[in-house]
Amino acid sequence: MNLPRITLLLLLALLPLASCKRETMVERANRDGIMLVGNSAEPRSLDLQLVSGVPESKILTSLFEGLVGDHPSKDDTMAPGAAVCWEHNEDLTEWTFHLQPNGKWSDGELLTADDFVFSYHRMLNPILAAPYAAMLHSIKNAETYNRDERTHILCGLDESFPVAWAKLRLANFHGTPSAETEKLLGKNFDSLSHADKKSVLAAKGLDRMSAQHLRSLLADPTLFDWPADIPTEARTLVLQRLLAHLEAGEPDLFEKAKVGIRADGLHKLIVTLREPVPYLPSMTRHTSWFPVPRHVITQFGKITDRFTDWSKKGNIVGNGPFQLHEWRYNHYIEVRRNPYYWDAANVGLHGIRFFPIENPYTETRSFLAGQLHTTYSLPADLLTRVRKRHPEYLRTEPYVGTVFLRFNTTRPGLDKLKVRQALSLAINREELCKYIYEGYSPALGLTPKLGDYQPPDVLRYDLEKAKALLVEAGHPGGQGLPPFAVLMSRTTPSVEALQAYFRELGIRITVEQKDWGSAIAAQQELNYDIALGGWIGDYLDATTFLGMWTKGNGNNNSGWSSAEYEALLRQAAQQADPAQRAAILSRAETLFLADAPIAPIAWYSRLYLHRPEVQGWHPLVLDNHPWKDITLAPKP
Amino acid sequence: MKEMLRTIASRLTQGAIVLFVLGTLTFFLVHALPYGPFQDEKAVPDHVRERLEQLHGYDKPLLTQYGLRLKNILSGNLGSSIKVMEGREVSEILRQAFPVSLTLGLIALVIAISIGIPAGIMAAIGRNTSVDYLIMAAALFGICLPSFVIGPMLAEFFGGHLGWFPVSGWNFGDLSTMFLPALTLGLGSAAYLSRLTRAGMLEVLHQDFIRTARAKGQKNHIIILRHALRGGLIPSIAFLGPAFAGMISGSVVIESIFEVPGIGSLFIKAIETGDETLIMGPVLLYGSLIVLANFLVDLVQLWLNPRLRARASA
Amino acid sequence: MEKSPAISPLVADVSESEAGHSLWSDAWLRLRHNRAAMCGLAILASIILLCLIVPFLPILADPALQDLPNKNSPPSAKHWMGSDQLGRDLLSRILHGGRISILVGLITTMVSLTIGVAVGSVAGYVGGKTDAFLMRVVDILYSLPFLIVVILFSTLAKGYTNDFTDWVVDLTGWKRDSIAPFTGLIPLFVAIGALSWLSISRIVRASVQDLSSREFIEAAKSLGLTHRRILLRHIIPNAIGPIVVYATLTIPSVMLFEATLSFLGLGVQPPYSSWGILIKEGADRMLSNPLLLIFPSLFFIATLLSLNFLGDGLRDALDPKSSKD
Repeated sequence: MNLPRITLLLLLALLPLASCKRETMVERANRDGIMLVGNSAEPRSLDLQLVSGVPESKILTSLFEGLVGDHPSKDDTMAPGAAVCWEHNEDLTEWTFHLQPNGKWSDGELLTADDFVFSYHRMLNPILAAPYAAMLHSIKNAETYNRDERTHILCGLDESFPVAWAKLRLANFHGTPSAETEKLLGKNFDSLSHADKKSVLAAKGLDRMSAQHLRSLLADPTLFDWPADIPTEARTLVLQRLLAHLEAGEPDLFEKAKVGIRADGLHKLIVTLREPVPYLPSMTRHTSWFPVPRHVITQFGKITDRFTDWSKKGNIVGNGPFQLHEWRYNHYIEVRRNPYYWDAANVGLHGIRFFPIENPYTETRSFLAGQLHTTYSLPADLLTRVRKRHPEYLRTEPYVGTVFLRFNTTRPGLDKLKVRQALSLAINREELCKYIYEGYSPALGLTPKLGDYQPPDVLRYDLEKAKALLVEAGHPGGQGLPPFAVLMSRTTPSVEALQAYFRELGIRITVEQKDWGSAIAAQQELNYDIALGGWIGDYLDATTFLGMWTKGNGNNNSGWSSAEYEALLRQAAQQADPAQRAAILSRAETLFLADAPIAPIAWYSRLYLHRPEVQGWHPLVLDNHPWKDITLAPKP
Repeated sequence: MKEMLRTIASRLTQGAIVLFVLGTLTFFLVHALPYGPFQDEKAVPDHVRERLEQLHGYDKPLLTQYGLRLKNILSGNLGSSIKVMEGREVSEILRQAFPVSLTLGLIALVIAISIGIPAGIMAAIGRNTSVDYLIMAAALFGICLPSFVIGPMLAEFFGGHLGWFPVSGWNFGDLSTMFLPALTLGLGSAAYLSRLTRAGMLEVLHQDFIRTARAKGQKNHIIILRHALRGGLIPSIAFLGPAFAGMISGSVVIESIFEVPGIGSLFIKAIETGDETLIMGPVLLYGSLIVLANFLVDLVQLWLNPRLRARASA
Repeated sequence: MEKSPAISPLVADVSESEAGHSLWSDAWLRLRHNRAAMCGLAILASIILLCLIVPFLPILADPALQDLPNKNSPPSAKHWMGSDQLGRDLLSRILHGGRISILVGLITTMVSLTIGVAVGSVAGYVGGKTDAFLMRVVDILYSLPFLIVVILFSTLAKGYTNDFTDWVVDLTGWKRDSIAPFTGLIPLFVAIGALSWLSISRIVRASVQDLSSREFIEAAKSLGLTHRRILLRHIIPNAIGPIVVYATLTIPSVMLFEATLSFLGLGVQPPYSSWGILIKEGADRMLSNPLLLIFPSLFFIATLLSLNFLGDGLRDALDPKSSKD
C-alpha cells in the first residue's frame, strides 16, 4: 500500500523540527546580555501616571527614574537617582532636591526641574483621574487641587477673603447624593419645586454645582443651608467666584491652589509639604513620583488627555537606564540600554525582555525549560518539589504585604468585639503557613517588619481563650451566631482550613466566591460578612498599612473606625523624630489590632525562581531591584 | 449561473445577519455583567470613577450607547480598549494578535487534515482489520480527550522531558514554538475527520461504479485516488467549516495553556475585566472568520459535488 | 431512522404495546450483540452507580476532609487513589465531582432535548414559512462561535449566581446551603443548553418531515385528530430513535463543554467540584503530583467513551442499514 509509506515519509519530514541539542533561550540571552523576566501580566499602558499594577511598575522602573534611586541590597538606604542629593529644613516640611546636572531624556533633551513640576501637576490634575494621585497628597495643597475643592482654592487659600477658612470649611462642599436626588438630577432644574431644588443642591454641594445651580442660588439664597456664622456677603462672594470660574471654562487651578512644588533654576526642585514627612526620599522611589516628558506629552494632546499616543513605542521617552525597544502586545516587551542615561556607563545589562505569563504553573515550566531568568512567582504546591530538585533556583524573601481576613463590623455577630477577637484567636497561623501559605511567615500584627518599625506582637493562637470569649459574648459554643460567608475572589485552599478552625468554635463558615471585580465592589458596599484579602504596601513606612483604616477610606471597607486611632495617626504625622513617631504608630496599631476589625493571617513572602547567573539581585522587602545594577554572569 | 450568484448573495446576507446578532448579543451581555471596567484592586476614588465613566460614555442610557457603538463599528471604528490596554486601539491590538491566531488555526487545520483524512482512508480500506480498529479507537480517544489534558501532557513530555519543543511561548521566527499548540488544537478535529472520512469512503466504495472499475481490472490505488476520493471526501469537506469554527473557539484554551499571544487570550482577559471594546473586537473577528470559512466550504462543496451544483441552478 | 417495521403505524396506535415491543426488542437484540456498546453501558452504569452511592459510603463520604500533613500522598489503603494538595481523598473527590459533572450533562442535555425537539418538530410538521423562519434562526445560531458565546453567557451566569440563589431562597424559604449547589448550576445549564439544541433540532426536523408525509398521518388528520395529538402521540414517539441516539451523543459533548468552562474558571464554582475542575487542578500540578491529573481524566474519558460507544451502538441497533457497516 502506498499510503503507509507516504505517512512514514511525512513523519520523517517532521523530525528536523525536533533537534536534540538546542541552545536554550537563557543561554542565548546570556550571550546577548539580555535578561528574561517573567512578568505575570500585560501592562495596561506605559503612561506611568495612569497605571497602578506591579507588573507595570517593573517595566516602568527600567524606563524611568525617580528623584531618589533604589539601593540594590539595602531596603532603607537611598541611592542617587534623578537627584544627586537632597536636603530638608528643620521641621522636615520643605525639601530641596538637586537634580543631576547631566540628566537627560532618552531622546537627548535635558531633564530639568520644570519637568518634575509638570509631572506632578499632571498627576494631581483632577481631570486626568490618576489612580495613585493620593501618593502625592503630602505635598502642600496637593489634595485640595486633586479633589478639585474649588471653594477652598478660590476662597479658602485667599488671605484677603473676609471669612477665615477655619469657619468657611464647615459649609457643604461635596454633598450627599441619594437615590431620590439621582432621579431629580435627570430633570430640568428650573422646573423643580423649591423643596426639590433644595434637595438637589444639598446633594451636589457647593464645589459640584453647575452654573445653572449657582445662578439660581444667587437669585434665591434660601435654596441652600449655610453654617450660621458665615455672613451673607461672604456667601455671595463664594457663589460669585464659583460662577466666574465655571463661566471662564473651568481653567486649571494648579497655580491658584499654590501647590507646594516649584522649580528654582534648571536643577533645583523645592517640595513643600503640608506636614513633616521624614521618609519623603523613600516615598519618591514610588513610580507615582517619577517624571514624565513634558515635551513629548504636549505633542500628543493636552495635559489632561488620557488616551494619547505619547506612551506608545516610537514616541515614548524616559529618563531611566533603558528605553523601549519593542512592544508586542500580549507577547513580550523588550527594553534596551538608554545611552543618554546619566549613569549609562554603569548599566550592566544590554536589555530586558518582559514576558506577561499569567499562569504561574506555565511560568514555572518555562523557567525550568530554560526560557526565563527569573519568575514573577512560584505556586505554593510546587515548593516541595522545587526544594528537592532545584534548590539552587529557589528564592523565598519577605515581602511588604499582609494576608488578612476583613470583618464587616456592621453585620450581626461580627459587630461584637469579643466575637471578632475569638475568631482571630482561633486561627492557627503557624499551621497555615506550614501547609498552605508555604514560605510566608505567620503575622504578628498587620504591618510586617519594615525598616526600623517594630510591629506590636499581639496575635496569638489560643483556642481555649477564644471559646471563653465567645461565652463572655453570650454565644457559648457558637450558639446564636449566624453562619458567616467568607468572600473571596480566587479559589484558595486557605478558606477550607479556616472553615475547619472556626468549626472548633461552633461557628459555621460558608464560601462565597465572586469574580475579582464583584468581590471588590461587595466589600466597598459593605455587602459581605468576612472577606479574605490582603494589602501590599507602596512604600517603606508603616503608614502604608495603617493609613487606610480611617473613616470613609476607600480601602477600609470594614465599617470600623476610631477617633482615637485617627488622632494617633495625626499625632504621628506631626512628629518629626523618627523613633517617637514609630512609637506612636505602634500604639495606633496595637489599638487597631485590639479592636480586631481584621484578623491578619500571614506576612507575604515572595516565592520565585531565579537563575544564579543574575548578579546584583538581592532580597529586598519592596522587591524593587534596580535594573541598572543587574548583570548577567554566565557560568564558564 | 444566476442561481449561483443568488445563493452567494443570500449566504453573504445571512453572514451579515449572523454578525449583527453576535455583536448585539455581546454588547448587551457585557453590559449586563455585575462588575464594570472601572474597578481596581485599590479603591478607585469616586471622583475618579465618575470621570472615567464620563469619558467612555458609560453615563449615557444603554440604548444610546448601543446606537453609538453600532454606528462606530459599521464605519470601521472598533474603539479603544477601556481597561486591559487602556487607550490602545482595538484594531491595533488585533492587528498584532490576529496573525498569530490565524497561523495557529491554519497549521492546526493542516495537521488535522494530514492526519485525519489519510487515517480515515486507511481505515476504510482496511475495513474490519486491526488497522481499522486501531485507527478508530485512536479517533475515539482523540474526541474524548480534552485539549487541556493533552496539551499540558504534550508540553511536559515533548517539551520539558525530551526538550524537543519549547514548553510555551510563540515566536514567528521559530517554527518549533508553533508545533505543540497547533498539534493539540488539531488532534480533536483530526479524530472527527478520520471518522467522517472513513464513513464517506465506505459509502462510496460500496457503490456499483467502483465494483465495475475493479472488475475491469483497475489497480486498487488508482480506483481510490481517481474515483472514490471525490465522492468519499464529501462529508469530510462539509465538516471542515464547523471544524475550523471549533478550532477558532478552541484556540482560546490552547492559547491559555501555551501562552500564545493570540486573540483568545485577549478575549479571556477582556472578559475578566468587562472591557467591552476588547471583547467585541475578538468576538466579531471570530464570527467573521467562521462566516467566511463556512462560505468557502460551501463553495468547495459546490465544486466537488456536481449534484449540489445542479440543485443550485435548478 | 426512516426504516420502519412493516406494520402500519395507525394499527400500531391501536395495538401499541405489541408493535412498539417488537421494534424495541429488535433493537435491543442487536445492541446486545454489540460488544463495545455493552462494555460502554456496563462501565457507564458502574460509574453512575458509584457516584450515586458515594455519600453513603462511610470511608468516602466527605470529600472536603483535609489532612494537611498527608497531602499529595500516593495511593494507600487509606486513600485508594492517594490524596490531593490539601490531603483530601482523591477518589472521594472524583466521585463527588462526578455527581456534578453527570448531573450537568444530563440536565443540560434534557434542556437541549426539550428545546430541540420542540423547535424541530414544529418546523418539520408545520413546514412552510414557519419552517423557513425557524431554520433560518437555527442557521444563524449555528454560525455563532459556540464556545465564545457560551463563555459570555457563563460569565454573566457566574456574576449573578449569588443573586439568583438569594432570590430562590427568598422565594421558597429553602435553606441556602442545600440548594446552593444546584442554583449555582442552573445558570450553567442555561448557558450551555442555550446553543447545544441546534443539531438535535435539525435531526428531529428531518425525521418529522419524513414522518409527516406518510399516509398514516394523512389518515390521522382526516380522522380529525388535533395537531397536538398527532405530534405528541404519533410523530414524536416514532422519531424517538434518532432522538435517543443524539441525546446519548450530546451528553459527552456537554460534559466536555462544562470541563472546558471549568478550565477557564467559568463553569462550576468552588467549593463544588466537577471533573473539569479536578482535571484543571491536576494539569496545573502535573509536576508535583501527576496522579491528580491522571485519575480524574481516566474517569472522565471512560464516561465519554462509554457514552460514545453506547450512542454509536444505539444508532446501529435502531437502523441496521447505516453505512457504518
